[in-house]
Amino acid sequence: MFTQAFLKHLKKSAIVSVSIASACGPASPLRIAVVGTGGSTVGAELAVADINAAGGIAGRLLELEIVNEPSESVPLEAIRIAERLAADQTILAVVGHGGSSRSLAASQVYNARGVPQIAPNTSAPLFTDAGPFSFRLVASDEYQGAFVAAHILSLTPAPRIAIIYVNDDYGRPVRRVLRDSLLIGNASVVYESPFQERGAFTEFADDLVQGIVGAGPDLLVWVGRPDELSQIRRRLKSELPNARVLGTDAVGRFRGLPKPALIDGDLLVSYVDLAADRADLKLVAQRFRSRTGNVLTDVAALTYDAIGVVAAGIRAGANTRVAMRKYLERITTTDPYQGIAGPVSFDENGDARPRYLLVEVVNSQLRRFHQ
Amino acid sequence: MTSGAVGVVLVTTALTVLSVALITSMNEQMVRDMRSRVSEQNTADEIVASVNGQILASYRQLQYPGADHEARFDSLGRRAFDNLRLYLFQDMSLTARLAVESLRELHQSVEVTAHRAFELSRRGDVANARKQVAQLEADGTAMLAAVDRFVSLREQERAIRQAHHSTLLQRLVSLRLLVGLGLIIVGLLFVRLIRRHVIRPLESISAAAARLGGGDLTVRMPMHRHQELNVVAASFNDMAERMQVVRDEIERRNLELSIALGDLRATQNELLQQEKMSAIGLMLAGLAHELNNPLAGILGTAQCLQTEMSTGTPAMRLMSGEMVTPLIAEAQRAGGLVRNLLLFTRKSTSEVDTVNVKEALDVAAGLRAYAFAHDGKQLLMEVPDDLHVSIEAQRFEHVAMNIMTNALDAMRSAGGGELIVKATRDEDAWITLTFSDDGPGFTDPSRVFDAFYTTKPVGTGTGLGLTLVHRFVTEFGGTIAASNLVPHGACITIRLPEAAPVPAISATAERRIAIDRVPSIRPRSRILVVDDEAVLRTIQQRLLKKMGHDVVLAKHAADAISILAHEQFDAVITDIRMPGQMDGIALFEWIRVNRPDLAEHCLFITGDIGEWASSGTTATHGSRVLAKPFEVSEYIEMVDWLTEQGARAAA
Repeated sequence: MFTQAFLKHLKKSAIVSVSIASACGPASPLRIAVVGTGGSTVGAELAVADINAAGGIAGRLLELEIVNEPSESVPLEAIRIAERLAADQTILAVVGHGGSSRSLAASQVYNARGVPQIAPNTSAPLFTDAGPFSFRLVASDEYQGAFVAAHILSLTPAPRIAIIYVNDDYGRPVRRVLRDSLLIGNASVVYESPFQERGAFTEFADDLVQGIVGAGPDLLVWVGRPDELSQIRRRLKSELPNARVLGTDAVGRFRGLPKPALIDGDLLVSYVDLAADRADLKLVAQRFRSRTGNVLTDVAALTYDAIGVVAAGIRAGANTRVAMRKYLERITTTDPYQGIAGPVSFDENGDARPRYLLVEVVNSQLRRFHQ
Repeated sequence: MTSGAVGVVLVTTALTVLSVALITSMNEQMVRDMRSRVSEQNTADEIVASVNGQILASYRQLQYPGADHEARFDSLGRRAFDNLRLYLFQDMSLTARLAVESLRELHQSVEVTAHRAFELSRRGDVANARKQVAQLEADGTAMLAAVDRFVSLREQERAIRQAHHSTLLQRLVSLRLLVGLGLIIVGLLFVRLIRRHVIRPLESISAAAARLGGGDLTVRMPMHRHQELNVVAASFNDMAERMQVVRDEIERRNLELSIALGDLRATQNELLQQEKMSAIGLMLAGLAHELNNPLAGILGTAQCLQTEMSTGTPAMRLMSGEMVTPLIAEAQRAGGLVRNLLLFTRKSTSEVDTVNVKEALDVAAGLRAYAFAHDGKQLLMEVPDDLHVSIEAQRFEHVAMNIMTNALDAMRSAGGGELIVKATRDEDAWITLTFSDDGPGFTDPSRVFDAFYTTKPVGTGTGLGLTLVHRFVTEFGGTIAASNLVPHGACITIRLPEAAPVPAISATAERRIAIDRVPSIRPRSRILVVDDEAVLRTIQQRLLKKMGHDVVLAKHAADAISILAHEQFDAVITDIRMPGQMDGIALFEWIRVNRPDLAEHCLFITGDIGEWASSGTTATHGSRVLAKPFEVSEYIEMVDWLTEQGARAAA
């Protein structure tokens, strides 16, 4: 019966809704929605499974509504999803969305409807002003741009730099801070170009590669998701064999890359030290791999922790959306939530403290990069 | 009622607050709309200007390649992007939000296209670069058109919102009208409720209070459903109950006071009547005394004349029989009338005596005989002379005369010819007196003895006569009743306990011995006659001389004293009431002191036997008094007795 309902719902709206438990009472259902790509939703599922396996919350099991939001989806779809979830009064909070533009667009719906939103990896600077119901587990991209610039400026000899950025709420601010920081540091930015994701990138890819190759950079900073990078990585590797790629955090989500080996040797920015010697993290990473066949991503780990934060709120008595918001406001650096990805806390704007590290792809594995 | 009023006030207040809040909210929304309209328009202008600038910069970059144009392109792009993201935090509809995202994507496309053109240009592929610029211009134009559509959409949304506000305002006005109407209806219902549960009960309280104030102490208020009114009703009823009790007590006391006042007025009137009667009696006594002197003169003279003529010629004897004898009879009748008057008007001693009923009734009848005769009515006495009652004689006579007067008045005004006075001894040793007339009878026999009840014309009766009669009879243990006779007539019946008779002979009767039955063997005596009436002095002188005595006359007491001081006498005959400082009693007191040998030989003559009786002298000299007008025989008898006393004393 559970399986039939699940499949029916899947066919109807292409939105995966998974009921982890159906024992919740109708009067105060403990329901959380998670909106994201496959990796993040798996992290949420693992979190809910762990909570319910431990007896649930006060004897009641947690129910998770999973909304699959493909990475290629546009903010328009995110708004529609947010409208639907906000209308469902049984949902206490939403964990998501995936991209910064989608998350920003959805945040205005959630704030208008009073739904707590915890974005695991929304890093767009505008999200700081999204509203009182919006929280995130990562810092603003302004910090990431500075972090990347600091790394580049520390390299010797100084590399010739090309900046390729997705022309959206994520790429533009990172590029702006990065470029400004590099210019201040007298770095040599030999090439810059925005790009558009999805279909528009394909016809642009050749011109982009020619441009990059023509500039001859030593370091290509890729501010965007891995899908577009994978389209040009092989040509770049052949045309510019000595050039190294440094991808921002979005690149880390490389699940689905046809040949991960192409990015071996590249550096990626990560929010989570997935190689840290932590038992809980390793256990989740192990279960994640066994579940998906892939390595645990920082987004999946952050999503796991986001579910944990909401569950902690429910345990603390936050059974309504407003109560949940107030609970989240009380999670500060003085009393952080201890997640598998590290301590979770929010400032007065709902932002997390900046926490970055560089990882290196070695034999399709992520390793912490030590310069 | 109180909760209803509070409810109406609360509803009214809530609606007013709601109305104000809605209007305030709409005003604020309108202000926000106006501000956001300006702001969004400015933003749109900025976007349009920036995008146009980017298109222009793109052209220039193609024509004049250089870093400045790209830098300007980036700067304008950042400006356009930042302005586009300003829309992100605006309050807008889902459609508008989707439109914003479309704009953002269009702008991304413009910028990417521009960079692609720049790259082609740098590589010298001018043709493709121009194509990209053309595409850029098309995308830019599309984006600007999209900006216009977005602005129009926002305008439409504002218009819809304003229309919604207008509709809401109209509904609010309608609602307020409906609420106003509802409040009026509620108010009317409330007024009706108030009228039913407050005003009407208050009116009933007011009406009950008015009735109570008007004297209807039996009025009571019904109980109500409301506790407060029940308390009022209970208090009112309790008050009315207590007022009724108090009024009953006041009425009872008023009745007692009225009775006492009636008794007081009766007593006062009785006192006035007695005072009046006392004054009349005093006047009558004086009058009787004054009458007795001439009557004594007339009677004495006539009897002397009769005696002289009886020894004369036959013609003189015939004349004496025809003229002197009637004269003597009329004088005697007048003397009797005057005597009765004096007896009736004498001062009451307030002493209960054994009274001969016939004598007392005769006194009363004698006083009313002339009035009955004058009006052609008959006063018939059927009273045995051996009936006695224990009573105050004078007031008993008043009772009889009052009843006789009432009967005469009734017969005089409404017919009837006789009053029969009867006295009988009952088997139970009670005496029953009946006064029966053949007049019209009593109008209401049961009220005859009520104070101030009279059927006589105004000014002729006090309404107290029979009341006093009733009181007097009952005070002496008797009963009195009034009834009507068949076919007509009135009857007053008095019953009094009988008293044993007192065997006594009155001084008057004892002295009334016919002169021809008195032996005329008398010693010659020297007698001093003191009288202020010349006629009486003359008659006495004549009679005494005829009896063979020596007579000296004195005009008053002082004259007598001067004579007694120098001359010897065997007896003194003196009038009692005389002018001057000394009367007969004072003269006697002088004789007792200065001529004690004559103290036992004094004979008193008085015109007022009542005054004599009340003077206190009776005790010592009661047997030596001769009342005027006296019979010659009585005078001779008393003189003989006096001289015989003197002779026995001398022997």
